[in-house]
Amino acid sequence: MESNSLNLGIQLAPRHPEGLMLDNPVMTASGTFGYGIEYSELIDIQKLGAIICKGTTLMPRKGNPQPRLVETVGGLLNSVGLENIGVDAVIRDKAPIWANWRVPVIVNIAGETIDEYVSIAAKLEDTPGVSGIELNISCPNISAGGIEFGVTPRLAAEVTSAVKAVTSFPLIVKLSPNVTDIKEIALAVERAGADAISLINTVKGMVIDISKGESRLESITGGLSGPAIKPVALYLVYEVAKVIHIPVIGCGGICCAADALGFIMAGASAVQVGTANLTNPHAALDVLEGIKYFMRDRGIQKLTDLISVAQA
Amino acid sequence: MKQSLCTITSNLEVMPGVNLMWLEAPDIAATAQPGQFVTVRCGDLILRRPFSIHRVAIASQSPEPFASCHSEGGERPKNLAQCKFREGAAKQSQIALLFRVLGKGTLWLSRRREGDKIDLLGPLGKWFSIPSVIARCEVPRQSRNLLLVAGGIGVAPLVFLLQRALPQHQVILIYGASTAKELYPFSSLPGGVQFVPVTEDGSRGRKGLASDIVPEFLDWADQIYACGPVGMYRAMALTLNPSPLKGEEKGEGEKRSNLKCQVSLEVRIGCGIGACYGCSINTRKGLKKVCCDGPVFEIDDILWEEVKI
Ligand SMILES: Cc1cc2nc3c(=O)[nH]c(=O)nc-3n(C[C@H](O)[C@H](O)[C@H](O)COP(=O)(O)OP(=O)(O)OC[C@H]3O[C@@H](n4cnc5c(N)ncnc54)[C@H](O)[C@@H]3O)c2cc1C
Ligand SMILES: Cc1cc2nc3c(=O)[nH]c(=O)nc-3n(C[C@H](O)[C@H](O)[C@H](O)COP(=O)(O)O)c2cc1C
Ligand code: FES
Repeated sequence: MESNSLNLGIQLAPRHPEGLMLDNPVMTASGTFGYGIEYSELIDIQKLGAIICKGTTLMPRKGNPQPRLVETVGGLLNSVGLENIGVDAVIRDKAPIWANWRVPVIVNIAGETIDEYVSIAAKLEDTPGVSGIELNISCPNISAGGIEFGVTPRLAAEVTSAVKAVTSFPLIVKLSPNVTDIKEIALAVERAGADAISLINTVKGMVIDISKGESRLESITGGLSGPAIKPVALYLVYEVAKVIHIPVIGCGGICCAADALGFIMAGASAVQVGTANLTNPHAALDVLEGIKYFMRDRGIQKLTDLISVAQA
Repeated sequence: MKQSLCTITSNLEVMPGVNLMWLEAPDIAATAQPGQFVTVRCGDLILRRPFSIHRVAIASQSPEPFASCHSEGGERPKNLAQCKFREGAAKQSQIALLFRVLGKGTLWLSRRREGDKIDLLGPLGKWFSIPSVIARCEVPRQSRNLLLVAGGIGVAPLVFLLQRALPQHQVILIYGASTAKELYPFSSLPGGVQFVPVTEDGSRGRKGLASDIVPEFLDWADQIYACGPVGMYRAMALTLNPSPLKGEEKGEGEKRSNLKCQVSLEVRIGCGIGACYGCSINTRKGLKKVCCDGPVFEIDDILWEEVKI
């Protein structure tokens, strides 16, 4: 609670026995904020609603060859390829630091088989410093022939319930926009036990260097993020929030408070700031300040009063 | 490392298509080391653009070891802008960037005027290690002679290195450019610096590439520092390690020369602080992030096929 009686608090996991209460709805998106530690010298990270760490796999991963980043008009195309230090190093080297923080840290996890997701979640169980798990289901499932977990309701539900069975942490499932009917997938993971849903992950894309006649990314395709995808993300949040009953976390191109408020009005209970952190390390805190300013200006005391006001 | 809005004190084209920009940046100036860089937010662009710290001028100190800035033979009076700081106008410590106008970001930057404020983040990355600076003691004999090799705009961080190394070291700067006009105006380098220009068209100094004449200085040099295009590094790696045993054609052979050679690498930078993994490369010492484990690396550690922009 702010001294001037603004209430920005939000319960992200109402179905979970302990819940996941955030002081405010502004989180940082996975892969753009490292382990939070990198930014701690630049901004007061303790003011954030929550931090989602880099996508974590069972074993360390090398990621893709250079170049991995290409700027587009209003966007960023990346093919980092999930380079990360692996879950054991997260538990050993990062979590002890998080344990001294006020801001909750949520571990984003990724795997190529259901067993991998389950093993990562099992390893994280009871780790001090971890406040929740976000499942990145935009990964190809090697046992299902390389099709992404996130593109079929059945696979998405299977991985959700398998992880739910081994974790006592609140579980957020992060949806991919690269699907035909996102509502079906959202409903499937809600039924499978997700405590909240975040969306969207990056939109598949590519850029050709016409002087070389080849893709600008060494691994050909990448994921588009940033302002360019915001209208897409907003629409998908609006659609998903219509049909599910667990909280929705909006993400995609959020750079300022107006963007974040748009997502909240479309049905998001919280937001994640991603690419904007790269443009401006203060972006997430600026979003938070702007939301407070808007609420004061409009005489709105509770953030929850703004959620879904734009839903028909 | 800090993010701050910095006031531009001058921004002038000092060579064709290359600007020198001085900025009031006391926090960065106070801690910056040669080889470190800053990122600049350029207009509406998503990615901040990285630039090496080209020079530093500390407000309260006597002039850095660049005695004066008379332009050579009266030509290119614009480079007098370099003198601005020393003319006594500035109250705050400043840093200079030297940038080539290549695309949207650098074009935007070239259009900023004196008095405009721009968003800088820095200083970032690891710096060139100079033996004396680390040990803070007498420079050991075996590391007194520093060979600096600049290719084109790669001269940017080496001038700062020169600035810091000069009192204790003997310095030779080999500087390659396409033509005489593209050479940074080193009109009055202080004593101790020998400037060896190389131009591709032979319009000034030796004809050819900077890397062509490096072999001639290997007996003299104790340490080598280089900044330039990857092609230049590759050629240097071959010169330093011409082993027929393995990877010969890639300049990755077994080490024959004991000279330590540090190079500054360029890949696309995302966050600049080690958080996004956009800049990682695979090296002989494993995965490294160019923005925070580099941009300065030892030439022997680089796997050349990994370094692509
Ligand atoms: C550590 C480091 C230090 C640098 N120091 C200097 C310097 O002192 N002076 C100087 O002139 N240049 C320097 N560069 C290169 C400079 O960052 C690019 O020239 C600049 O970002 C181009 O931006 P642009 O928008 O004008 O060009 P764009 O239109 O974006 O692209 C033109 C070309 O610039 C390169 N480039 C684009 N974005 C980046 C990026 N984020 N990181 C690296 N390269 C990029 C690519 O090769 C691209 O093809 C440095 C780069 C790095 C990584
Ligand atoms: C460089 C980069 C790395 C990312 N890495 C991950 C990741 O490891 N796991 C994940 O779930 N999402 C990852 N994302 C996606 C973001 O978390 C976010 O969903 C997406 O970028 C859209 O939000 P934005 O437009 O605000 O960036 C990454 C995005 C970027 C730009
Ligand atoms: S640029 Fe983000 S980790 Fe290096």
